[in-house]
Amino acid sequence: MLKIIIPTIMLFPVIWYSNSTMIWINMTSCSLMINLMTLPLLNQAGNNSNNFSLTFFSDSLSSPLLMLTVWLLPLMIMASQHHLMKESPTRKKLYLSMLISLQMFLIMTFSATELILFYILFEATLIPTLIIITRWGNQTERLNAGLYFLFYTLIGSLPLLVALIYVQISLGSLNYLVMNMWFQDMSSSWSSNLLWLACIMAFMVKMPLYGLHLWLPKAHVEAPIAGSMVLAAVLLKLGGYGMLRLTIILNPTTKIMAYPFIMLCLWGMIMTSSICLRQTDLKSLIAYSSVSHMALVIVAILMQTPWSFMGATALMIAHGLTSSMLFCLANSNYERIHSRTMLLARGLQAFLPLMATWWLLASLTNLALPPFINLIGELFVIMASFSWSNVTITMTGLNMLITALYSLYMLTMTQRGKFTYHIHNIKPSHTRENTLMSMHMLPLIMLTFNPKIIMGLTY
Amino acid sequence: MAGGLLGLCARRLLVAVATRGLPAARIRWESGSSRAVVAPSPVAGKRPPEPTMRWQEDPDTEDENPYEKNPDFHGYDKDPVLDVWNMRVVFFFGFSIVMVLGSTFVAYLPDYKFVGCPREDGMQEWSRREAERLVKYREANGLPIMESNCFDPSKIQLPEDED
Amino acid sequence: MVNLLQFVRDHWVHVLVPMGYVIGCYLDRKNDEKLTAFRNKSVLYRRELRPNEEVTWK
Repeated sequence: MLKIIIPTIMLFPVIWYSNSTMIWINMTSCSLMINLMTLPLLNQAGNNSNNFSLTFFSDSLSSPLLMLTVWLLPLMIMASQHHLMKESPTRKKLYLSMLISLQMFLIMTFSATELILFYILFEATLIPTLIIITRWGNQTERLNAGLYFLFYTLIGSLPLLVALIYVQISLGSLNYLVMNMWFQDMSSSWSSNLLWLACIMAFMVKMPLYGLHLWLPKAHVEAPIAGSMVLAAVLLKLGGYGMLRLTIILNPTTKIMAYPFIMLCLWGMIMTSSICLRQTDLKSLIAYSSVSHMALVIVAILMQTPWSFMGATALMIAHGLTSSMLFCLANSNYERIHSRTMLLARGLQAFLPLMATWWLLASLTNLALPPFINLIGELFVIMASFSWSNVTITMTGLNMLITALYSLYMLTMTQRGKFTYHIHNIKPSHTRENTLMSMHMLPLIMLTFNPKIIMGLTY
Repeated sequence: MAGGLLGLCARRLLVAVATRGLPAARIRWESGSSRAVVAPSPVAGKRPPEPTMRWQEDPDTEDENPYEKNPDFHGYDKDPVLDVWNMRVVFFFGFSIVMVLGSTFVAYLPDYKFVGCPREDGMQEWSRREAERLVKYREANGLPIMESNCFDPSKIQLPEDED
Repeated sequence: MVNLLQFVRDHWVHVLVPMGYVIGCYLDRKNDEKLTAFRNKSVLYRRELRPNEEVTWK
């Protein structure tokens, strides 16, 4: 694992010592090289995990997420190149250092064996994200958004620390690989219910669960493009990852405790996608759509069947790429129109036909069109929940319908219609943006041909 | 430049119309932190003019046309040389190296994982092919496709009965 | 000669990431050696070494 972490750390000197003109070139080439170094992680021999050392491991759940994290760094860099064009070189370097440290923490979080280490790194990812949001966001509301983001996540995860320390005392070890074979069934008492809540709530806030999701639209909307991308693509998946890891030690309390949360998710899924239908703000629409997709992942994880775990993992990766692409598209609109309001950016299809193609593809993947992995994920989750209880099909089915509706709404609002008269000098889509979109889209298409590498532990 | 200014004015106008259409209750799109700064004065009638709704706006709306200096602008940098080199680097590393080599690597990954039988690490696709071959063989020779014995009973050495 | 120096001064940063990879590989190897401390120490799975081998696994 050090052979990925040390090159990532080496990116700091690379940007700080390189010429101020060469920052972007060095950074993109080096981060793409790191991508190549993570590829061997996918080679999972057997059902056991790859134990790199006593502190780091990866298995077929964490290695796709690691790949996603590492793949996102060059994309974030490319996406924010226009945003930072006017900044001074030192600030550019500072911004890039934040992104690199975020990647470093995320790599270590996804591969930590020890749950306390996992917890510390989970919290550590807050710091660079907070700095990115509050320093490089566009409006003054970013401070408020940062506050929401920080305190929701922090308050949600403090009980987790207490719970982890309790488990450490009672079991003697928090090593994930050991705990797997070592835990005993929890007793059915109130204290074990509380322990369950403490363990899960941190990740529920991070995912986010409907009702605890208020930080997410704010943070997504106010963050600069790289912040939105990494929030949607990787940081939300931290929640899913943590839940998948921790539910193992929480048997059989999950069976009883899951009911209210599954209900809340199924209901919240419909609510959030309905909220999407009446958004005026493009970025906030995308943010709410990711809340509704993540609700599906929570349902899948709480259901505790092999099928739903497969669906959850596939959906996490698929949604990571899709929502990040949607944020990039929204940002490319924003750079031209200077506003996130959808009404002000109508009829772009006539000006930017290639960008319209990307919009179409992104919306189709977002609503889970058949060949894409998004469909595989959603279908697995929906089928697993159907066999869990037949009634859920009404909710999940309705949600799929509303997802299609708001994707169509987003597409028609931005692409079709008569263009507003303040669009006079609109720049054509740059090579950079088209490259960026294809770098999101191509992995999605390639994964569609070979989805088994993102199916997670139970495949 | 002029077009951009015109666009800005037009948008202001649009927003102004939108705000005037609002009821007298004056819904404000502000967060808690900014309300402290631009709170409307309590004196009725002498309210400062409503700030134009800038809540979704870019603070600097100036657009400069990069194509004036560099007709082959790729969106990376203002300097034409850096611009084209940045594009080349991204294409070389992103597509020629990572996409091509990466997808080849993933496509030719050894097939280790095995679902049906958790006690054994095995080759999933191999076992499927083998099973299909076996089914064909058994159907052709009129053997039953599956037996109730997972292992051949003649091969299992049982301990002697002691009683 | 001067050109070479100039070249090295301009582009030495590019070496850092591959160098990091090499260092990482080296440290990973060293770390793996640490795991051999418990080799053949388990009471349950310990076995006698065969005459032609030095350790049970490498």
